[in-house]
Amino acid sequence: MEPAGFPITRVSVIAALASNDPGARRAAADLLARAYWQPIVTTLRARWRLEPEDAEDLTQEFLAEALMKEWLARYDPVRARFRTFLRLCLDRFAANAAQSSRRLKRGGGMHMVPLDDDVMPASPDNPADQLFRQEWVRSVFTLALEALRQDASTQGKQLHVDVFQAYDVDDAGHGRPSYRDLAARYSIPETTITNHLAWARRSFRRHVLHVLRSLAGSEAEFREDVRELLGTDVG
Amino acid sequence: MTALSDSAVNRLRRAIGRPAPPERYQLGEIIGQGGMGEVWQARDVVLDRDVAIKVTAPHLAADEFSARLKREARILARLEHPGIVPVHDVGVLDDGRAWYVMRLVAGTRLDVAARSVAGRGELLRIMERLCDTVAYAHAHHVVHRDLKPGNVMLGPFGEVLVLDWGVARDGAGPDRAAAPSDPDPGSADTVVTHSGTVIGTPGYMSPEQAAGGPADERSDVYGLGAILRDLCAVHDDPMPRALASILRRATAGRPSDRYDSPVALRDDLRRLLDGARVHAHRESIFEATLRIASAYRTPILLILAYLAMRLAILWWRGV
Repeated sequence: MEPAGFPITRVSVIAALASNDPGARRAAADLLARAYWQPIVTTLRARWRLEPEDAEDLTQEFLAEALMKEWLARYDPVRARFRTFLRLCLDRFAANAAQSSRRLKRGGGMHMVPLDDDVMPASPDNPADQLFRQEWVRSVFTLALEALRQDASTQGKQLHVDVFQAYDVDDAGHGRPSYRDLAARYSIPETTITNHLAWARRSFRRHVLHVLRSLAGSEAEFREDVRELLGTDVG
Repeated sequence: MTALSDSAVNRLRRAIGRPAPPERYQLGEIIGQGGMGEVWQARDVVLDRDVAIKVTAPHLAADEFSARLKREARILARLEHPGIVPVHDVGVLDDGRAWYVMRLVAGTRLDVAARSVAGRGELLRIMERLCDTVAYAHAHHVVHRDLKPGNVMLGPFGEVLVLDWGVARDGAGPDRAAAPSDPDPGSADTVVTHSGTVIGTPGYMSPEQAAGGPADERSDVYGLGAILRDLCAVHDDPMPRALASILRRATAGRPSDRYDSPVALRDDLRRLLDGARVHAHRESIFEATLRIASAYRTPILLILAYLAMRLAILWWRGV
């Protein structure tokens, strides 16, 4: 069964952006923006010390230019992950914007100050990459949760997601609720809590894999992302 | 919707990533990854022993690949042989991924271990045992279909274990008569999965497998031949012509030109080791003389010594 909530199902978002079908292109652009919005905003705020509103404006500008000027069509999966490529594009874009802002400073343009002078190379140890990746994981999970909720709603399994939300997602100040607590809260047996959680986790996992596949530039990137995200590297 | 906190992200990662088998098994570290699954070291706290747990890889669709993993466990459970790792337990994780528990093998893969094996004779004896194991599986209607040095383990006490039966063809299992749409690749004679992937490893799979055709026992003979080829390359000394003939017959392009079973291959290897005539090799009179002379060196020397002594006595008496 196809997970709900994602119009692009079998083709990666990168391939869909080059599609002749305007609907597919629009859906791909939408998914790309939803997946990368927060990583980009956070990176601009942390690395370029932008105010929240300025970071959001620049993110919108970056995504619009990336899509309109077809930068993304230059992506080569052999050379790098799509995520890394996008982060490097963002660095260059932000560096150009910083130059412009210096020129316009007296005219009231936004004030951009990089944390360092050079554009940092892409590397897993690079703090900019780590931050970008961390926010990207959050976005992937957020998209998967949205899809899970839609899925549950169409299947009449809202309670399953509520239990999952309470046990695995919500931050309870005094620790995770026990199965017994949840059984009492929702007036269902503990065994039903176990079953609901199992269903929701399985569905959530399927949606995460689906989002990852949609966002990956290649099958190899997808597999690497899954191994990293699900923490199963050979030790 | 409020943003997920860091701790929520970590909880979610744990919830869908690391396998959570029943409490009886305390999961340790991941010790291997293959195309279909991961193998984790674990502690069986009830029997107080270390075991290995194979789980469907997280990036694979749980339903399809879990069916394959369960099928592999069923095949292993049926094949009780010293050369096949026994299965102890099987189940499904709460995320739908299948798992099974097997003996933890503390050995070395053949491709690594072969370099430290003393001589060619010892390597051929390993091949003999390997043929025995595969022949046993064939006797139970199971064709491995992915024989290669990386799927053979040498144990610390000389055990030769054949691993990874995940793509085996089970000619006697309950899914033998499954519908053609069954995603399980082992349910039919085909060696192409429903997604179009050819089963096997380039360099070790038979030509008929590489072409997407049916694979039978002779396909495993080809795999055994490919392993033999690798083992022969470990030592630099020239290969005996009879061994080269065995190799040629085992890895012949047409299945009908190969040994028809691992037993036939094993028997020829045994003949080679015993100094008998190898069926795959048409030897010249010179080769036959040398072989016989080499095989019966001691009695021939004794007879020659006896004749020399008699001649010496006759000569002495004549004088």
